[in-house]
Amino acid sequence: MSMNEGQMHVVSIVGAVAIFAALSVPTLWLTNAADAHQPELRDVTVIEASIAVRKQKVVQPQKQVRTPDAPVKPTGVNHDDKKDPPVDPKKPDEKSQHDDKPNTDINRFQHGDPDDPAGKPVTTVGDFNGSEKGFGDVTKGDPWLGQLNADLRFTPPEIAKGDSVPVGCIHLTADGKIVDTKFDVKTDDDLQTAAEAALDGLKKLRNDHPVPVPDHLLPLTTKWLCFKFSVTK
Amino acid sequence: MLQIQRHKVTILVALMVGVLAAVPGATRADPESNGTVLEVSGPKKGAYPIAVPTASDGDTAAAKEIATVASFDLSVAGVFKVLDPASFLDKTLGLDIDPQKWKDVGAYGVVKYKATADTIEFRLYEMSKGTTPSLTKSYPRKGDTRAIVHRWCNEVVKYYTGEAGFFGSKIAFTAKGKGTSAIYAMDFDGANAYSVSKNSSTNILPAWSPSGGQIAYTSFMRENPDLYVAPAGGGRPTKVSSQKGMNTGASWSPDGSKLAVTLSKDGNAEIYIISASDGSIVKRLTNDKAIDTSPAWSPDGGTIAFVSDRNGGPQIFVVPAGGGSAKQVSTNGSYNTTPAWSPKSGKHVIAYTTRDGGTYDIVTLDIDSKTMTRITQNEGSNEEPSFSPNGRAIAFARAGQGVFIANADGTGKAVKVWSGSATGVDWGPAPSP
Repeated sequence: MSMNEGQMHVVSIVGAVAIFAALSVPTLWLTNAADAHQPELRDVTVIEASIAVRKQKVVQPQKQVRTPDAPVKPTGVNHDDKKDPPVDPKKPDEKSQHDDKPNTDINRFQHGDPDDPAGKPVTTVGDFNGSEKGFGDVTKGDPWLGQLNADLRFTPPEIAKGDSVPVGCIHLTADGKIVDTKFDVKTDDDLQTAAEAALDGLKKLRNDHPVPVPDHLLPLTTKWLCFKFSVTK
Repeated sequence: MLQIQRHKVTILVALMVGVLAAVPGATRADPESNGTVLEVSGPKKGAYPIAVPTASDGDTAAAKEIATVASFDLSVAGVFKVLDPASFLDKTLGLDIDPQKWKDVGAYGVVKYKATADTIEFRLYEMSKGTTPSLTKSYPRKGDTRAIVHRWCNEVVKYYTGEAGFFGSKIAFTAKGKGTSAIYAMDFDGANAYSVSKNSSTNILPAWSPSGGQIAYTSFMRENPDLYVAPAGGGRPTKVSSQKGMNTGASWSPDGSKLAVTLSKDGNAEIYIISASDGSIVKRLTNDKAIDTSPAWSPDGGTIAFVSDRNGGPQIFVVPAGGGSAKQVSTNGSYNTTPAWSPKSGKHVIAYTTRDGGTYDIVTLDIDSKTMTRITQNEGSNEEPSFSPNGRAIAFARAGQGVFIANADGTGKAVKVWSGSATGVDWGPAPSP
């Protein structure tokens, strides 16, 4: 006996339903049976679970250690009456630096060649002119100036009196030494003393361990380079 | 595309400029002076260099003592660095100075003086003001020269800090002998020590009254550890509290009318407030099966700190003086005891003894900011701190060595002011001006 196509479809559908029923009914029955045996919430014994975390060790605070102050060496006094005062060979000839005589070098007043738009390379930066101060944008973010600033060590004592803003200046030479200092704005409180100490310290440091002025900052050596000292609030 | 890159470059440049501007002390042009001046900024920090040269004219014997006492006073004030006389260049006689020579040795201030048979004249110079003195005082030579110098140094501290100095104040402590211990008091610098308790029994835990006129302490002179109050000069003591068991650890209320004490009348040590005049119990502050002891009354009167082992090892707790629940404030280490409040107004700082390894050290804790500062470290075993009247210094006992004072900000080394076996240090109130 052979089945036609319609009969075969009916038989296959019935078979599939039978297999599905055979598999799912026991599963559902077992699940319901398990639920039926679940205890009521009030009968449940609660076991608290927690994760053991190692207690962070509490570290005792450590005592502040103040960096010892640099020894203060007296300057400008010779304790040995018979000994000649020390001569600083590096000190420039002040007469040549601050000559009051009029400068007759007319070349310094010459303008560039108007026919040469590219101009000529600058080979000299000129003499120090004590009537000029500082310079402009070239200072921004410059590492050499940043180090110069850091070497100032302007640290007024905690109880220093005053809130003035003294302005002190240095005269740099190309080899990085400081030949002179002055105060443009001199105040009468402890911040002035702190600023003077900072400039004196910088002068000593840079004369003992000069850091040559980089080429692009050489114009600095032709005028006073000034610092405005203020207290960080 | 090019526009986007331009935007990126602009933002990057703006960020770099912002960072540069934010860095303290950054090098940048000064807009006020057409970009001609570099800005240098730094915080105020560190000690103030001051010189106290020994006067070489006038009463030279007194001059040496004045220089010694003034140098010590200013060196422990917590704000000065007294310069080494060996470096001094200015030999100007009398009361004048050569400012440049003092600047050359790093001095910001100079104390000059002249002692004669009748007076001692002092001058304070600031180098920034040249030869004009910032402060001048003349004292008649009546009584102790040290006391005159202390008064002058208090003026110097006040000039710079606006706070009263503690020179001339006194420190009380327990001096241990063989089988006994006595209550002693002395000048803050260790001078003029004398016995307060004047008996051969065991006397412990002295506490100055706010006026400085009395000292409360516990004595075993009647076998039980009872609480007494005696005149600070050492007169006959009055028994204030003689409850069964301990009557110890007295701490005065700011108005001097009450005492916070540890009583164990019911078997366990608890904190109580009693009347300072008759010892009657005003309030029981703690009620815990743990041991509660070492009360310390805050300068504003509102809080009492104490030690309790209710959470395990001994820790510092605070409780409202009017009563309430106690709160643990110390969290470092497993052993913290003997709290003492800083007298600085507006601050809630406690100094206490902490165990670190095998030794004990002094730390301070700002209860509000939780900031801790270590006062001693690797310098023996240090216990029982007490603040100076202005809060700038802390006195404490170093086991087997004596009484020391140190800067309350944790800087510098502690200075010994009394040698011997001492405990229970308590710094008295500020001296009268």
